[in-house]
Amino acid sequence: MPDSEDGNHLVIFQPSGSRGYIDRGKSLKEASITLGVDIEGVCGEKAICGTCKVRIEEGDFEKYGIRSTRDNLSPMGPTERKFFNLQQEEQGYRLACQTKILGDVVIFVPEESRMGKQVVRKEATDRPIELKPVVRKYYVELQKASLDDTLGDWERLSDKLNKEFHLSNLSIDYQVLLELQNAVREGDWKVTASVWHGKEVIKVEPGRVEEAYGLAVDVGTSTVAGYLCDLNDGRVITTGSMMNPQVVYGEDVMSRISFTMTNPNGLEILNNAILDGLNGIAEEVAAVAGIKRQDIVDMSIVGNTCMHHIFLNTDPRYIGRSPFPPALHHSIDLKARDWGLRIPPEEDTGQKGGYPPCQVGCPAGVNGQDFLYLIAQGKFTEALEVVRMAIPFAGVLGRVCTHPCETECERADVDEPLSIRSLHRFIADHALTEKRGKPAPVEKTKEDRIAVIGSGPSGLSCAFELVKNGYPVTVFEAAAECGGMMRYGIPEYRLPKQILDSEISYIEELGVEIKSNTPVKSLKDVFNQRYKAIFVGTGAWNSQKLHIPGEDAKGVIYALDFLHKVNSGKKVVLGSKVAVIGGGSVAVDAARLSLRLGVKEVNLVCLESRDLASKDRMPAQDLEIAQAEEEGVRVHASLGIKKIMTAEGEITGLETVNCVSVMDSEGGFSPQFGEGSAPTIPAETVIIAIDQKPDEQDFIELDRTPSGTLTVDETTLETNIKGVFAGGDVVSGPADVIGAVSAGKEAAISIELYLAGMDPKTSRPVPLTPIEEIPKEGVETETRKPVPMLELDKRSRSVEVELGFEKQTAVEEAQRCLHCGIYAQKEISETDDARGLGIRISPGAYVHILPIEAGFVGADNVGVLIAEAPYKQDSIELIIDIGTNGELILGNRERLISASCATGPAFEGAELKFGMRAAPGAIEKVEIDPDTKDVRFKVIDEERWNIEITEAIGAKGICGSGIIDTIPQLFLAGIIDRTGYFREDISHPRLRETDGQMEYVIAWAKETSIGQDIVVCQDDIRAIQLGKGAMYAGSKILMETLGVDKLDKVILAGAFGSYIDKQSAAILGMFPDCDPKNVYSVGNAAGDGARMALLNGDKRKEADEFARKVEYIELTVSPEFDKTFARSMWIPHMKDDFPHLEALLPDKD
Amino acid sequence: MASDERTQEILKELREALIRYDEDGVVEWTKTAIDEGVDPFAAALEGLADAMIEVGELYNKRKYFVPELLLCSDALYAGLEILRPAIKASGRESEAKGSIVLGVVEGDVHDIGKNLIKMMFDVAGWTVYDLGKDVPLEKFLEEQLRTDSDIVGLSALMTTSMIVMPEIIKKLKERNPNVRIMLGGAPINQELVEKYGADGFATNAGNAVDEAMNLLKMLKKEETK
Repeated sequence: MPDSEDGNHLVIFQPSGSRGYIDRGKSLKEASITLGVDIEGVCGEKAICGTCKVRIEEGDFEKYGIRSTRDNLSPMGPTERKFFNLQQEEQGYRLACQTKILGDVVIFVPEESRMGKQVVRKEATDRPIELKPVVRKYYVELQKASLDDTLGDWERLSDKLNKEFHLSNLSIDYQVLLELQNAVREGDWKVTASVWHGKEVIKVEPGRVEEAYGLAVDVGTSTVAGYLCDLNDGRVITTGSMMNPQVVYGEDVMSRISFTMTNPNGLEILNNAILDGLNGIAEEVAAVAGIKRQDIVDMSIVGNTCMHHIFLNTDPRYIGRSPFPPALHHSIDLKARDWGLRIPPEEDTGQKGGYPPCQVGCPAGVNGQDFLYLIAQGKFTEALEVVRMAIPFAGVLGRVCTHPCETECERADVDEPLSIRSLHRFIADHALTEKRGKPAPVEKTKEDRIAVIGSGPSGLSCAFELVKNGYPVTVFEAAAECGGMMRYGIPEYRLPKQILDSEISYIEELGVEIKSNTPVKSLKDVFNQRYKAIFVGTGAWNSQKLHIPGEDAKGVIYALDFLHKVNSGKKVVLGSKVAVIGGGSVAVDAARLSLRLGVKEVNLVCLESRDLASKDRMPAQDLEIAQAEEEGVRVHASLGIKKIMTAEGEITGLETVNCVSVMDSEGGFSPQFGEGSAPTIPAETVIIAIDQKPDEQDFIELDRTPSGTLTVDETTLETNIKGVFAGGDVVSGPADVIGAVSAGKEAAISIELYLAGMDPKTSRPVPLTPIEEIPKEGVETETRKPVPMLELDKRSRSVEVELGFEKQTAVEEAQRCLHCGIYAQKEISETDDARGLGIRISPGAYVHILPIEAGFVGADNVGVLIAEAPYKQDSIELIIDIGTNGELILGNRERLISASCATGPAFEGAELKFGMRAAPGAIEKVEIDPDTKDVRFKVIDEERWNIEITEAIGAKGICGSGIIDTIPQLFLAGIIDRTGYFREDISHPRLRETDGQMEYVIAWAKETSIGQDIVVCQDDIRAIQLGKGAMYAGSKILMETLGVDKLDKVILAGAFGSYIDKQSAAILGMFPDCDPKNVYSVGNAAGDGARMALLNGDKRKEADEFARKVEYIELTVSPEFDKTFARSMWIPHMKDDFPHLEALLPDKD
Repeated sequence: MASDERTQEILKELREALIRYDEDGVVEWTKTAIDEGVDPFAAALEGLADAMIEVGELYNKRKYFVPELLLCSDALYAGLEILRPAIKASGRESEAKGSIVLGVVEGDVHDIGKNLIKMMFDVAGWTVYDLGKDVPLEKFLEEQLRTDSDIVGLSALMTTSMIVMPEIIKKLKERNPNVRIMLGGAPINQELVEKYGADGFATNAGNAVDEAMNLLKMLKKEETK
């Protein structure tokens, strides 16, 4: 096959001849969009409407050098098949939206599938509008600047505006300021200023300019109409309209919302589409009026809730689902130039394609690469600053961290990972050797006070993060000194106190208030002290017992108590032989500390295996186990303790049992013991170091897990009490310092979001992802620098064993870094780049977007509301805004209620067998003679009836007003009954059965341009019944809610409302009975409302006021909805009487 | 005790009243049946249930539409309400043919289609666990586990709410690979059923009757296997 260039296939659309290469697997519909071929499509490519029928042309097409066959398309599925009869299938008809391209093809788009130019029926109506524009122009003559008078241009202008027009406290738009000097001088100090709301100068023009223009826009789901108005006299200069460019992404609002949900960048695509559309309209009306787009100084917009969200670029997904809450109810003014602009979130501006693996691996997110780079450059202070952006504990963690970053280090693939932990220590120690100036306290920019309970690694990290962001933070510590487990749980030879002290003072110097010796017993007290949020980081201090015989003997102590006492400088008496039970860091620390306290024989007994590669390995770190053994600790691994042996109250040793397995296959703790002899371990003192738990007496109001730790949301760390967050060992049980630091940081993020009223779960930054591919070719081996250790014989209780790097070693070690970050792809998406151009009218102009009422009662309905102002009437009015979605308002000045009903797209001609939008060739008027049962019709753009002309009338289908005529006519002619069913007792040449259902021929094939009879079938009638039934039922429920039983007035609004025959609508039963004299079609009232808001600032206030006053009724909640709906589907209704239609309607039975 | 002839007459009147969705008529004839000693079981099955099958056929012929179905439904439940105590008293409650959990998925409040499906299952002698509308995902899982139902029916009218279906289906199948899942609602089609990993579907509220019947047949076939 001659096709394919890189998996592309040539697709040619006829008769337009448009062609191009399209990716394999794309649908014909997508190809048509790409190639600019307009194919009908109503359902959002879901094989529901069947309007995108196309035909595949088979054969060799020499001209294009391809062979087009149906094998080059995906096979037809059952849903698609039901749209075609056998003949069409044989001819090669397909639905463009369902057919995927697998090879080169030529496609014919039949006339009925071509998107005709829509007749946009949104002419402005003639309504008196009081003129109170929001933007006014003021001409002023300024005193020219001179050496005696050097006042600034802006002050000169604003003083004058104040003096002459009493416009005080004016501000000026930044973009206008940039042009101010030129304008002033160009106009020889005479200028015209456009002032918005009497507050802001949004345009300055040289000389006297009186003309002022505004643009009112109605963004409909299908069509967009813009009215260019003269702000001086209110007249409409010209109207511009177009199909909503989003239509190609789905016809109704729901399919557009799902488009944004299922396509990455879907919202941006739709937002850009409407932005382009609005710019197109602005361009068009300006050209027609002979002005520049920049002369338009104000703009107002209405649209339904979905359009509203999409043009604000707010996510519409939540209004697509119950309970349908909008992002914003109130009106909003935004700068036209900012339209749709979304400043990318901070993490997006950086390295989009990932982060260095060490940074991702670090629970606290330390930017390893940057600080290593700075060390390699010898910039140690700067390196420390980088680390301190993430954590306050470079010195502490540089000593005790479990360094998950090193596990992730890519250098391991070449030789060994970098010694990242020791380099942290190096820069912290280096800072101590330099005379460190105190950091300036961070300015408190926030008012909400935050309490942190516990000064361990989690609490202090949380406080550190919050104080950096301007919050007043107080840390409450029960103990005399701060640091929690860092101070009392880690021996000095691993972490010298001066390092910890220095880093805690650094946190204090930033402005954190620390209150030691201040235990907190009740969270309520804390809130009563006007703290707005609390972090609980009180750790896990209660040692767990082994529950074995002999445990209560004198001489049994618990590791944490032991470490705590020694660290507090208290004396602990140990026997000459010490046995430590446990395999973790605390046990190893206890063992090594025992040696340092002069004990001659220290045995460490643990369940876990000494084999560090085993699944049952000791949890302590490799290095510390090695150091302990080096120092003389004897490790007896894989042993369980049966009992502590005593003689005369004194401990003699431990009786052990062999442990064959510790963890089960799923990693759960489940020790298994074996047979055979196990050693007896001699001991005079036993130190138990198996586990610690939080004190369950603390904060009883907080929920806990069965193991006694606090229950928190794993992402936000929020507890069961609002505003209380927790982290560190109190949540995780005993764990490492870096884990606690990370928890403190995460809690700080949650607290900030919580205080800002945002959702801590959904609003938090997304977790970092690592860079995937890091090339290592050509990297030369360079082994990891060993960390120097104190000689064995010099080791003591308080002298550090690890010595830290020398300067030169540190620099060389840092130079081993592979700089993974450079392989992150820096992508700034094109859409972001192209944005920010906004709507190109006057650069300083605002766009006013009208408020919305409720879920599906949008700003378009508010437009109708302020245009009709039922809140100023005494009579009970029902306003029906007809579109794909019907909106109803009922009431008068006393009370107004509204509802939204899903009428479906049938009223706009979609989903009917021969339905089409209002475009040339659409049948829009139908009359059926009750006696002959014969028909006459009119098509759009033709004044005469079909029977009055001899030439082909070329009907293409039936549009909304046509179908609304047809059904009552069929009913009045007795062809269908009240239930909407074709009567079985009638025969007529126009009546026939096709595909199992009855249909009535409106136009014979010869009267059409599509070569087929145009019919109305039973399913069409059913679709209309559903829509009109929903509308009628909605009206009824509103009437019941309001307590009225008759309507004084019915107003049909909506662009297409004015084309509906009022009598047809009444007989069809689109609304309850009303005097025909009081039924009005008001045309596009939403657009009129937009114009009113443009021309009259008071109307904007009115809109905001009444949008909130109208009570929204959710129809489906009404218990009687089903029944009301069912009755409303009959023609005109099952039960209701229609006194005003009596003469027209046949008897009920 | 009514004579056979009289019994047949009463059942015929009952069927006709239901078919013309005459709720008062159904109530009246049901009461007559009980008063005259007609077997309440026969009144339910040969009277009401048979009539509903005919209603379903009228729907298939497009003679009946949603309003008529809803009215028949009201009439049906009015009759069943009266018969239930009598059936219970007779101690001959039939064994349910199967059980189904039904609900409209979360985010969606349109439940007419689901209610019609429920009715058809009721009338066919199934045990129906109706979860209502706007039903959270977990609820379907819990209810299926609690009731050990054969089928779970998920309904959605909006494209924006049907998007949650695959997740529910996945979880249901994970917990119970034998459960069968039916989808219903305007936007559902065969391709979606396959894509979402469900087992069958009802195209829309209107087609409910037809599809419910198909489902019954399908299950019957499997039962007899």
